[in-house]
Amino acid sequence: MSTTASSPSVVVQATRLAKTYGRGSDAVAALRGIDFDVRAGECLGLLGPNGSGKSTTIKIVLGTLLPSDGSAIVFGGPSGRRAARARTGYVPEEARRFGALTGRETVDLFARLQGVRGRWSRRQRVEEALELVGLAPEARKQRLSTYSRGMARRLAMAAAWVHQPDLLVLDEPTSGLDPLGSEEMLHLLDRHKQRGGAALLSTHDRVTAEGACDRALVLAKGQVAAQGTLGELLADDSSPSLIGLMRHAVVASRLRDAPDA
Amino acid sequence: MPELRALISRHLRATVRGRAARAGAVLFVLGLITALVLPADAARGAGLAALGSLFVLALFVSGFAIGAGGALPEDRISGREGWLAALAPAGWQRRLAIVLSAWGLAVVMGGAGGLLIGTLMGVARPDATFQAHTPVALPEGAVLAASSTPVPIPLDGRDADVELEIDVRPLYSRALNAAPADIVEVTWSSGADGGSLLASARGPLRLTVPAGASSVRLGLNTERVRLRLTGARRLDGTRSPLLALTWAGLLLGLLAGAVAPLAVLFSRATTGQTAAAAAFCLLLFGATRQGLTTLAGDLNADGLMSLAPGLLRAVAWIAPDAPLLHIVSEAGALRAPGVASAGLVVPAIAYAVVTTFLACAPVPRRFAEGRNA
Repeated sequence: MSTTASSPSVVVQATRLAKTYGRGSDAVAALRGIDFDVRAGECLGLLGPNGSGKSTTIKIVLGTLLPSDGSAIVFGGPSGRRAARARTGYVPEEARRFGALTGRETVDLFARLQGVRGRWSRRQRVEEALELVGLAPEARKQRLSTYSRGMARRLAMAAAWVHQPDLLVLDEPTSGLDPLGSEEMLHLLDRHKQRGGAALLSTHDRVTAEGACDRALVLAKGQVAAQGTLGELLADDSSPSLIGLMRHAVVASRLRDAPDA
Repeated sequence: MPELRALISRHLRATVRGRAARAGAVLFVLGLITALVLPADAARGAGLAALGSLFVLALFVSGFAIGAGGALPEDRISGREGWLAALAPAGWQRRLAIVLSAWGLAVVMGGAGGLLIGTLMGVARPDATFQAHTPVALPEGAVLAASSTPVPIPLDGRDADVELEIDVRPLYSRALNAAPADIVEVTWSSGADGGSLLASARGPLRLTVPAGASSVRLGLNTERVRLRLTGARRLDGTRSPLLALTWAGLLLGLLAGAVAPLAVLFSRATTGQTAAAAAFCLLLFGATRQGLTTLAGDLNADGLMSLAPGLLRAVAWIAPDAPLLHIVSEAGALRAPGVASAGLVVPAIAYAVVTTFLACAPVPRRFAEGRNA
């Protein structure tokens, strides 16, 4: 595991991260100056209702979006650098399919693009990743156009993990997965953490959040409404559920935004 | 480079396995069969078959090249672009991979298609033979007219008789006394030898010049018509159709493939359909460039119509110099493209190199968030 310049174990460091879409009267503030970090060997969960800024945060960390203000430092440099991208695995919210390729070819493509060299070692890595996400051997030979949503998500997970990244970024990773698939995903995430990898995960699912996240950040209207371990967050809330937590965060952010607050 | 190879392999697989490729292959085979079998005219059948089948091949390889314009928008629409943008390769590598795979595929398809056509020609038209030829230089702007002096064409004074083929076409003029003529009488002289022949006002005319002649002088005996000399060649014996058509197919692939970067360039800012349509239009202008520029030179118009030659030249200037139709029509005349024909693809390749740079040029990240920067 490599380290960052600021701290030996910090993989992602976001400082006063802000993002505004549009200009003038059409401007929409998606993020309003949030701070967080993700350390090696831990998984930070991004929780919050739709439109709270989770996906925007993820895109900034990946470097596909530029922040309007603040900074996102990944592996010691600004996000989006090639070196950072090569060390990151990403599971998008909707696992889009490369319809003409088979499952094995897709994971092999990602391995090649992320710098796994050597035909034999790559083949080994591809099979291992496919095995880990529980994709059946016959499914690996099928074109992706024939895949169900759940199979496509498993494959996206394998593609993100095949080069054994130091940072995994997962956008709603268990959405569309059956309970077995969710468990396999959590197992893979656990394995990733054990080898010192960091993970940034956004989810609505309590099982995923509890099973995967060491710490969580509750976002509401682009601001951090609460943070801590999930146990702390749920214990602190009057309603000990993820829905209650999110509702509480939204109400709190509305109160903050009120003119007389 | 390994990343580029991986991206090229992805695009090749996606293209070859796509529905459009399957539909294109079926249409290509049907078109080929039609072109090879239908021309029943024994005298011109082989030429028509070669013309038709190479035309079908040109359409087929152009389709592959123009199809490159669909890759980026497809990734954009499907959401794959954001996924790919999070990986190590930069946006320019992804675009270069599309360009190279489309161009490479067009060349391979062109060569393989030419080989197939050559093989089928051997079966369907066993009597077909292709003429080897060497270009003969013509004086700049050479025009035959009854009222003007004969035009000299320099020859290299060979020991044997020289069979000379000269392309002519009538010049357009907007005059009350202009009269279209189908058949004209052309005179020729070389030293003590000479004669006249009746020929079509548009097309090639052939004459045999005696051995040792260092030049031949051409004149016109028909009034109220002027003929422009557009090309001349010395005929050098026959060539195998297989070789001639494979080489022609390769040249078609190289020329058509040169439009792939243009399609990718357009597709950075437009939909796949718009990019493909725009690239197709420019390829069409490029394929007819020679005709457009000579037409612009011949036009004698006044008023607003005087803008027409300038417009034609502008269109021809923007379009790639891709003489696809020239190669097809040469094969249709059963003329084998020589090694010198490789020079025809040089301007198209230069054009493609420039458009590839433009297609791959990165844009500032603030203008290309979440896209192929």
